[in-house]
Amino acid sequence: MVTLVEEPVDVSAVFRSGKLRPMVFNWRNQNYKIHRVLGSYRSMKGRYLEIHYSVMSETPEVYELRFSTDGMSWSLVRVHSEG
Amino acid sequence: MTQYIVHSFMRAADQDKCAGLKRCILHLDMDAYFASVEQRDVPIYRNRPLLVCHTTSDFCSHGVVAAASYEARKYGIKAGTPVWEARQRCPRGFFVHADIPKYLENSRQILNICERRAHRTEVFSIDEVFLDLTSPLREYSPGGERWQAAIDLAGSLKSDIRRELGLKASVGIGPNKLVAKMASEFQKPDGLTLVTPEQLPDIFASLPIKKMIGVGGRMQRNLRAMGIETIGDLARSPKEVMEWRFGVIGGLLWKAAWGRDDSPVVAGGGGDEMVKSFGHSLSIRGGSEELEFLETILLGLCEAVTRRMRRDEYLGRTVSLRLRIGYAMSYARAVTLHEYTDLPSKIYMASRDLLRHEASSGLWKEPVTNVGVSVSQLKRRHEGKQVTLWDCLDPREEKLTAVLDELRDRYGEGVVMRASLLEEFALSGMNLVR
Repeated sequence: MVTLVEEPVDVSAVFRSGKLRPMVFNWRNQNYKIHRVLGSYRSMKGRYLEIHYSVMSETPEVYELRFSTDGMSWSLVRVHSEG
Repeated sequence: MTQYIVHSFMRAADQDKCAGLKRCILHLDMDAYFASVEQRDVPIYRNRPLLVCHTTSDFCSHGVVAAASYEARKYGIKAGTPVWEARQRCPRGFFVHADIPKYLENSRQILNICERRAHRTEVFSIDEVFLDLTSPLREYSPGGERWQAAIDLAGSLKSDIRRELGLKASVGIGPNKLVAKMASEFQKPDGLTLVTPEQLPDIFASLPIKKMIGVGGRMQRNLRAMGIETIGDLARSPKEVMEWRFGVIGGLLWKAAWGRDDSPVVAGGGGDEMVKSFGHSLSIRGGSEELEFLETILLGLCEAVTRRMRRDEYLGRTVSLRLRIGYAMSYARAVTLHEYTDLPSKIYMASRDLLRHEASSGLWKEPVTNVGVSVSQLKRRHEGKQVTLWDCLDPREEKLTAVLDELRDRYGEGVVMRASLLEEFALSGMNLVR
């Protein structure tokens, strides 16, 4: 099942070898430590760059995070889960 | 620029060297592409029926299936199946939105891998690429040795894609593009098929005529009416009869049935070629006969079509409306405008008049299940737009459209839309204009 979220989230990320990698995100006052980045891609929204990440925490859910250069903001876009 | 020129010279030189050689073409077709990308990125979807949908609905409640995973195909679902029907056939399937930018990014990476193997590659679609291997394999003696080298190269290409991107592809190899493409259909998924010139035309002879590239539903019916059921039947028909019945296309189909095709692998996907039309369509779950609703759909489609035309700098004159009535009948009506345009109101008014005319014709015995609009007879914007008296009297729409385009260029497609489209096209900006 896909749940559309589209909510701003706080993200701790590292810049390494010219790449941005999210490490932990906080959604609805809960921290999710990112265990695996399954994939990422870039796209443009108007003049702003967006980087999309599919990530996994401890649970089987897959979270789609988006970093936008518009306001240098992070969002949780959707959650893929069982059921 | 210098590098580009040198590269071009190399290609020209290679072409000269290869002119006397028999060609060796590879066709790469990604397996259930959109669905495979999603299954790779979201482990929950692996080995499960997954439907990737083109839809404006948040919950994938209408629209059409853009790609079905192999697990979903067991339920008879394929690309183009309406979402409501797919939900009926496979209620436990996973339905997700198509993420076109993600697939485009993966396609770019696939092309990069292909270009390592052959510098003449042609992007045929988002998940298909042709590679001309004639030049890279020219050192091998013609015949068995060269075909074996092509198979080895194809195998390493497939494993590179598998290792670097986690995706599977089916490959066909043949003496031309047509044969290579048909060969790639022989074994799916993850197949590798070689068809040599010696196997032609017999290898395709027993296949039903619908398997031949270029034969759509209507042509299939016409050929069947002539007693042509298989590709072999077509090859055995006199070429003159085919040309008499279908003109140039008839001759081309006859050649194709013999596995003959001279078309070159056009590097850059033929990007210099003129676009022929711009179009969009939308499936309506359960169908609708309500004219007001259909006109709203039409307006959204016209907005999307003309936005793309303006972005690519094209003007068009012929407006076509395509309707599917129920689930069997589909037809189109077209009108040619007096002037070239890229404005939504003009395209909309023309297509709306066509729609109203059809609605009053009494042809609709069932609800309309799909509406499509396309604009053809195009010319580039820089070739000039004829300014009419009305444009001078009322240039407001052109100015407004330019401002809206500027907003969309800056902030993205969904930033501004007509209020009348809010309900039906809440996500249209992102979903339709790509």
